[in-house]
Amino acid sequence: MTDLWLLAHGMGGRLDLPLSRWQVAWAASVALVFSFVALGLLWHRPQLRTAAAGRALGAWIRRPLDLLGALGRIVAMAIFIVVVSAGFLGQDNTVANIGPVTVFIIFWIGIPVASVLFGDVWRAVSPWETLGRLVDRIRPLVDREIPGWLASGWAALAPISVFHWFELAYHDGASPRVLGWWALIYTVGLLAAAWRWGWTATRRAEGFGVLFGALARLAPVRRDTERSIHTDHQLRLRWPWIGVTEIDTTPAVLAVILAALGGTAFDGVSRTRFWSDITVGRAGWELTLVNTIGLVWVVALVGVAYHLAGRLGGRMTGERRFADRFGISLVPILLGYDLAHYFSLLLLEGQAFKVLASDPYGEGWNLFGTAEDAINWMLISPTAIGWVQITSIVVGHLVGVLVAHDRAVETFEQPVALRSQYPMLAVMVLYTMFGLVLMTG
Amino acid sequence: MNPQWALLLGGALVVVMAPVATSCGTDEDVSVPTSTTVMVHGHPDSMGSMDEMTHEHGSHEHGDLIDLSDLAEPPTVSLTATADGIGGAMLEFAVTGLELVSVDPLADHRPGQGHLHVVVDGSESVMTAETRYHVSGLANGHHTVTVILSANDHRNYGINRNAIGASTTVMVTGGEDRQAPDGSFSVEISGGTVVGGIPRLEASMGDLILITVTSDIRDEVHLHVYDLTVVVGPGEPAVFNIEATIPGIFEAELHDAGFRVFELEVS
Repeated sequence: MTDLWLLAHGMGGRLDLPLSRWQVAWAASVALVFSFVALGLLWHRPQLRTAAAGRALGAWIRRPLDLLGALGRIVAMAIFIVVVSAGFLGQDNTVANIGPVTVFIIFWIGIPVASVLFGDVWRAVSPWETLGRLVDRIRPLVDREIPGWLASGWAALAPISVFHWFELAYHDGASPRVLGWWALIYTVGLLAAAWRWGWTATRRAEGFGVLFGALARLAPVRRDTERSIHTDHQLRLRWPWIGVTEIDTTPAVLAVILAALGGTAFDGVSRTRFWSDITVGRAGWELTLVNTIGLVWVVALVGVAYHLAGRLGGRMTGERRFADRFGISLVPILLGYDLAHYFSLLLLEGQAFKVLASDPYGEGWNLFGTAEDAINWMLISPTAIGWVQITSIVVGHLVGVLVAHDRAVETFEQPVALRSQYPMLAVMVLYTMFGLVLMTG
Repeated sequence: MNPQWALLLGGALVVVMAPVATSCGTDEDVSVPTSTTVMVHGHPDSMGSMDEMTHEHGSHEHGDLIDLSDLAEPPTVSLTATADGIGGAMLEFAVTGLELVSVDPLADHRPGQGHLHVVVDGSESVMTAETRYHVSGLANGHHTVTVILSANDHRNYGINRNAIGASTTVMVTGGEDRQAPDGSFSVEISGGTVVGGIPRLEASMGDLILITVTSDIRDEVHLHVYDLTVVVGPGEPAVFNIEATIPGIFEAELHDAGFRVFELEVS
């Protein structure tokens, strides 16, 4: 047929059906009951940190894995170049340009999902990582003192916040031109910092790497190449989820995770009737303003709730770094939120990537013969989507409770260990109930 | 043609559009081209921006329009649609100032050459280089037909911000009777907002739904995923006849104004 037909919407415009009340009630009860049962009945000595080390696979797997990594790096670099150049040279049309679907679906949803399954894939293939290491090789070796904002890791909050603003608040955020400029500015900024202070220091400002790296700890495989107690560089297998216990959340990493959680929560809020009554008739910068206020409001709500719990826990236990110590619980909850909100987007609208890969600039090409494929909106039924949503949120909550429990018995003696879990449990129940309410539309 | 595509196409064919309530209320067989002149002369209020009707929105720079404002005699097109009495209509196009060349999806743009894009009831129907085209399989009642001048590379020719095209309605007889819809909804846009808030219109899978949008401003209403775009304006409601074949919640937005108009929930 005609190629014009195929400009069917790649993104946005479709929402999942609301979950039924009984599903939500069921999920909420399971989450609540489990939370309280967990307090009393779970193990009393820390289990997860040793288990998270996993079991090494044979050394034979190193070579094929290295090859796969190199291939992935080249492919990711190629996609990066195509997306950025399409941002400037391709049609400035959300659905005829490969940029928006790649950035908002493949990168923002696909990479986290891949990270949770296969480990830190972003670290392995990231074009910024590739370029940063390249800069490291050619820059003059000058030892400069690394400024505090970079060393502390707080800079990582900037890209995540800016990304959320473009994604959720700015009225023209899905424009390929806007994305092109954004990617270019971010890349140049990172490389300039890498030139001055080296890539190892600059990596902490690459917010996406920080965020995806945290999510990757949930994966059943690990292959740490740096800062690891396991220096063999081998692939290690372990139970899924438990790797988060290895994270030592700094306040900055915690802020990145909370910002991501808050942004996803606002995405949920913005799909409710409540929000559509607020935004009715608004467009352009007026809409941007209202959404910006909403975004900041929800992120602040999520962040303040956590920090109140952290402060309360600190007072109850005398542990000053209480909020940081228990930040690991937020990672599985974030994954649950992400899957609940974006799973169907990845599976349905994500198909547009396959279509646009054949014609990335909107020039009428058909490089891989897929330019005329249509999106299969029936790939997964609404019932299945609903179950994935509810399961993600509940499992995210359960894992959050488990790792918090393990962290508690690791940090404190009984009976403080038991008591210390109350504030965290309260805030996790709050997030989960909030997430479930959003799912009812 | 793969199966999903056939499904979408099937869905789109079933989707038929009621008349835009103009003077065509009687059973006249031959329609009058309604907006040819205005369109061709690029009156800003004539047809909204037809370019984006086919090229989808997202671009507010109208980058995919080949602007011919500088030509002393820009090409024109006019359209007549005659019902055939057996559930279809014969469309005849009169084109000046443009050489129609055969439709090749990979052809490069050449000034002075191009073809026609035919849009029936808000959905792209065919691309042709012929001056006649027969549409069949339409239900009884009024249907909107639009033709747009397109370059070899499928960008639309336009003047200022408007594509060069023409639009008309035709009263089809002798076809199948349109089934009574399972649900009818109406939405009113007035004073730059949706009266009574953005409605969530609920339907079940397989339902035939009739949605009428009235507006005091001229624009296009676009329904996502079902991918239908219908012109709306004062005294000219946008009418969507939809078979609910895809489950989910779908947003419809007013294209140029940029705000949401309604949500269609199919479960």
